[in-house]
Amino acid sequence: MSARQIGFIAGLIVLLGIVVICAIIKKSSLKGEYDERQELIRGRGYKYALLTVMVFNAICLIFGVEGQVPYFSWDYLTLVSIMLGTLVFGVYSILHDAFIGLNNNVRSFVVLFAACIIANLFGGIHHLQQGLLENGQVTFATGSNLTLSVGFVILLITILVQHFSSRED
Amino acid sequence: MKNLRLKAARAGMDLSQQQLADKVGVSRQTISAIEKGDYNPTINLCISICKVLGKTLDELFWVE
Repeated sequence: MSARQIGFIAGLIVLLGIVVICAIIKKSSLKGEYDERQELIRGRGYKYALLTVMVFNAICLIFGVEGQVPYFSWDYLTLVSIMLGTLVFGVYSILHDAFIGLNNNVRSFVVLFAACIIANLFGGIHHLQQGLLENGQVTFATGSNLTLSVGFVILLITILVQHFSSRED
Repeated sequence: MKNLRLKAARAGMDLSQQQLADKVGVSRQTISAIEKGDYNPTINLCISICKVLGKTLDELFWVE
């Protein structure tokens, strides 16, 4: 197991631990509560996200040359595929006021997204300075931080715009 | 189609969209969507809203 994989697993365990501790302290369910309209929209969002992932992967397969997509490694494209699906679901449900559940608030997500952006930005800037290409390709190791930062920035901007534009009628 | 009767009934009880949403157990945006005519609530939600506002289903949701 590489150092990166060990670090990833360790980070995941820490994150899960924090979530569980917060849930215990808050004495509330980890599962978000959504009303019927939000559930409907989220279901549609999941459908569009799945379609996006399928189309993206099909494009990669079709346009790949000898099993390789030029300039991008397959592990990086897998991340991009997941990120695209997440973004489609996130943006769609945010714009239709179905992202934030009944027992959550905007501030929690703004803080969470900001933390994710900051956490990935340092690595992203480092790889930008060192060069994103590894053997002529953007790989998971070199491109993941920047990609995640961009993804979370899009979600953060969307959630802020939607929050300030949707006021009581 | 806009549901002006719902809006009027809510205003009649001096409730904001958020207050009505809290009493009914949905989000403010759902109440807004119902009033604008962008969302058709289920019968259970209709009944919940009627109970809070003290109106009948016909008075709030029947389409003339």
